[in-house]
Amino acid sequence: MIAAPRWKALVEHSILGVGLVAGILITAGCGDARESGPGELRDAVRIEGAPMCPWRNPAADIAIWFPGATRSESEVRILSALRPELGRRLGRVPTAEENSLYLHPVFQGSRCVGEVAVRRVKGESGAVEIAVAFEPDGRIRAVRLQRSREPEAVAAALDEKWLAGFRGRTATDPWLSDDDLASVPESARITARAIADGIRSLLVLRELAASPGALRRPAPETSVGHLH
Amino acid sequence: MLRLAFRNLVRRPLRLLLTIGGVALSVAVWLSLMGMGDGYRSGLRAELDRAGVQLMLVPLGCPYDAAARVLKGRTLETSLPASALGVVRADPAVAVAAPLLIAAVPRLSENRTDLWVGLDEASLLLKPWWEAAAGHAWFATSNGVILGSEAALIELRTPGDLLHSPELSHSFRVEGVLARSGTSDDSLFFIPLSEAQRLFSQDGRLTAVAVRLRDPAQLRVAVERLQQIPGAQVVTMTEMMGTFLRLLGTVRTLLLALTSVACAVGVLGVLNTLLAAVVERTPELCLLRAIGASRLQIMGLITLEALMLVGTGAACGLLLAVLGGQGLEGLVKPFLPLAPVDSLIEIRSERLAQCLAASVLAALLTAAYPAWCAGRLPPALAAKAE
Repeated sequence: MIAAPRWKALVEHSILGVGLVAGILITAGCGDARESGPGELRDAVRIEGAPMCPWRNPAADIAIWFPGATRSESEVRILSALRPELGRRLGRVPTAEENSLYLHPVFQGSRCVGEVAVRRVKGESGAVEIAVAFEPDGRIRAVRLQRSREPEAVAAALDEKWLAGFRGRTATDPWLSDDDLASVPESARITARAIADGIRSLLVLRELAASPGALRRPAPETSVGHLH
Repeated sequence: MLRLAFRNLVRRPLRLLLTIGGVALSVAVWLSLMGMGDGYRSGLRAELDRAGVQLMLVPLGCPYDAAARVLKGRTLETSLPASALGVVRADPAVAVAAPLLIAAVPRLSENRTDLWVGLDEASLLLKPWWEAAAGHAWFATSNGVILGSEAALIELRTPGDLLHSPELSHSFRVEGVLARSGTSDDSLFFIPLSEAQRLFSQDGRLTAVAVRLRDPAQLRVAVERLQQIPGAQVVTMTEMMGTFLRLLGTVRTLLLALTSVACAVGVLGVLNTLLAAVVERTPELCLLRAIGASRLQIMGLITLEALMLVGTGAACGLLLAVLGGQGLEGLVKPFLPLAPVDSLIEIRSERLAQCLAASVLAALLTAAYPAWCAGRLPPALAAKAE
């Protein structure tokens, strides 16, 4: 009972304090927004980098790769803290896009039956978007080219049969050498190499994304772009 | 007195929060709506200014839809004969006439559409932002393609790379990548006009002709002359902007009516809270009177409470409008004709000042009756209550 006035005073001061801080923040926010102006703000946000690669046809892919799956989710794994390890595993300096990985876990009821990740790589005639399905243990379950600009002959060489060769691979497997790509027609080799490197990067990123150093965040809502 | 007013307000935290919530919601809706109107108007004006065009020759049909589609780099179902270009260029009032052929190539299996724009060098005079970020700013060969900045990022192309179109069975050489313009051009593929006409089997056809006049004062006479071109119609940018703003104005009036209801509910909420507070605190107010507080001081106390209540609500509303504005913009933008690339919600300082003035006025109005009631309480009632 004796402590009541003190408690009330404490609450009162806390509310006053919070109000004051909120007021300062609002004022500062408005001032900042006005000073920077819409154009400047836009430029600050628009750091040059390829927009996130969307998963273009999740329903169809899930139906083929994970029959019986009931739903999928989207999450971002932040890998910034793992950049040294990522660089070592990839054998190159990681790109800015590789600071995070968008993963789509697929569920059958409450059980995770696998994951899907997508990536855009530089093909010879345009961007190639790869969608890779992973088993829960990290092995590749399936690969699909969800978007490609390659000429017919190249597209025919990099068909489902060729992509099926990636099934079962893990991040620790020895990767494709130039000799392994000898079976691919010469006109398709540049794109084939880009796809193989992209899949390997995804395997490494996915493995590191499962490690304790990676932060998990729900993916911001994105829509599948109709353009390009 | 400030401390006393604050203590009185926080005495009923739930009622306080609900009242503040009501005020905050009305302020947020009002600010967002006004901000959206302002943002749309200035964005549309900027977009049309950036287009560098005073009028546009489009095929017969809805002229506003046609002009908006062309400005956004979308294709039309009908086209103009290329002979129209000669007539436009021969008009004495015309300074620049830039022909355009726009073709959309959908790839349904990949859930995307390629937008190809064929243009000639006259377009450079209408696009002051046209500048190469890499490579050349204009085509060196007929097989060249210049990419908008966004298109280059998505296709991972740099000058010298190939860009193949499976639908056209044709490979282009990337000759340049444009600097970001903030317009819809950023996501387009530009090729020479003659090449576009050949590849899309549109020989002798154009999607539109963008026109800049020598003297804007000649607009009316130029429009009258250009309207005579068979199969074509003219739409001026001023008309287009007026049409879209009128459309927006109609929608805004409807929404403002809804907002005024929300504001009325907020104000009534504050009135209700103050009246209840006066009734609940009658013995205290009488006691204050008994120990020497004047009528004016009691009325001031109630008015101060109203100001604090409405002020906090308005601040929360502002925060809500700033934070929730992006979400609202995402909902509304797809339905707006020629929605600007820039942010749609622009909360200007004059709107903030209007909001502040309206809040203070609302607080004073709502406080008037409860303050009058409180001021009339007789000090003798304190003894009676005891």
